[in-house]
Amino acid sequence: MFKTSDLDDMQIEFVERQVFFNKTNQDQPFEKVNDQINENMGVINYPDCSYLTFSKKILKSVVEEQIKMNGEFIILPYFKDETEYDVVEKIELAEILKRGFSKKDIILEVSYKLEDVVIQNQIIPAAKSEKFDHLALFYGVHYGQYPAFDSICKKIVFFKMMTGKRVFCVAVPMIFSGDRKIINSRLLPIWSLVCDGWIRNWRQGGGSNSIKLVDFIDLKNKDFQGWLESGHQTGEVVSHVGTTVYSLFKEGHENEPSRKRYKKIIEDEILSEVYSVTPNTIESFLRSKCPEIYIIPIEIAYTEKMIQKYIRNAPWSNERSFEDLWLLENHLRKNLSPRFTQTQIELIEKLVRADKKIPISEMIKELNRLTNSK
Amino acid sequence: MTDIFKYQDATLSSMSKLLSSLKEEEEINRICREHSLNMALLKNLFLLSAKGYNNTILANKLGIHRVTVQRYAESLKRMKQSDYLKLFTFVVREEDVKDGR
Repeated sequence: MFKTSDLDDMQIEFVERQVFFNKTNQDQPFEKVNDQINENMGVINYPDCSYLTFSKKILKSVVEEQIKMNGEFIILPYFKDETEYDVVEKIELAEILKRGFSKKDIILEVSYKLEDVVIQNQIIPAAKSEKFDHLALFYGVHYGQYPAFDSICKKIVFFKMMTGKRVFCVAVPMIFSGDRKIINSRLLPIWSLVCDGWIRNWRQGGGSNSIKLVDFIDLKNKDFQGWLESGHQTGEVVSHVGTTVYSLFKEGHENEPSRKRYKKIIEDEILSEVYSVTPNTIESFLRSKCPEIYIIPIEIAYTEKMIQKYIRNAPWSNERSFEDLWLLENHLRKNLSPRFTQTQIELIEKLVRADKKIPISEMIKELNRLTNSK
Repeated sequence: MTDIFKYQDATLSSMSKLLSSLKEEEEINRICREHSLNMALLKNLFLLSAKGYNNTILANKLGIHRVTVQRYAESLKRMKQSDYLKLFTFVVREEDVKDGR
């Protein structure tokens, strides 16, 4: 998803077949979206209520604003420190909206901190009874850390497993701590591997005392000293921007454009790499670019995405009972390798092509045979 | 290396094919490193620019900064023709394999 400021930064008018995130603060009207964006992108009109405590009145007014804008989605936004009771209120409104606007997708947004018991007792039953279409998890930090990321991945996987619906991540960071302590931070824009849509955090992070830049070799966020310790020379030309390491880190406004351009280019490159990842390449990508502790949650979430896409939403799965599909999916969930899951999915597709009515038990037998021959 | 062979039919011809493709990959990595190019991005740019799109359209299609597109276009112009051909052949062949041609 892209905001106006993202497009301005990139000096482009739109991004084809992507979502435009038309964010506004709760008390301000939505900006009019230009024709080029309307023609080429899907639009989510997003009222930012993350700095407000929950109020039914505000919720209703932001929903009315969205209805006026006539977008494809209606989002019930996250409020600061919202409780289970607030979430229930939002679900009730979602149900009413779902009945009144059957052609619009309703997105329920909640905090990533929401207790698992609320997800289990309120959100999942509501999703199963089609009271809303997609879930959004609001993160809202500038600098990510492992425990929160792990908890988000668990929520995504659990929700998808139980409902088969899409999950978006809102206001997410691009930089993460390298391990459990806040050191060795890294550029890690891996959100497209774990969820179905994401938008980066729009709030300013706390300023650092020193200038830090992502090293293009290992993607770690380092200061000048850190770059030199990693083997870079002061006079070395950083070909991404055609300037030396020394000038890139030199304080002063005149070097700010180079730093900004460098950051953008590095982000573009790593994001392109993430988008190009396939089940066959994800493991080597993660092992070369990602701190070890993040690998398992990413692989689990990625495997779940594959299961949703190729099993739960496959055309042939409509003719199967939920229990049968559940058995098959759980069989796939037993292994953590996306590459092997891909091989298993290919085998399932081959079996279905050969015999559309092949029993799930037969499929599992064949999958077991494949696992044993590995 | 052994991992790669484990899953292949280890005939001599398949082994020599694998070795030559590994060598080629190394060479491609060297060119990318020399010019600070990212293979994933380069591949997307190559494939789309072959369709005749200009820099602005490429940036719109890929969702990347216009300066990034310009930098890649200039790097490709500046590099040795032999290196350019190696990159181009590698990308095209990879796509052909993906398309099953």
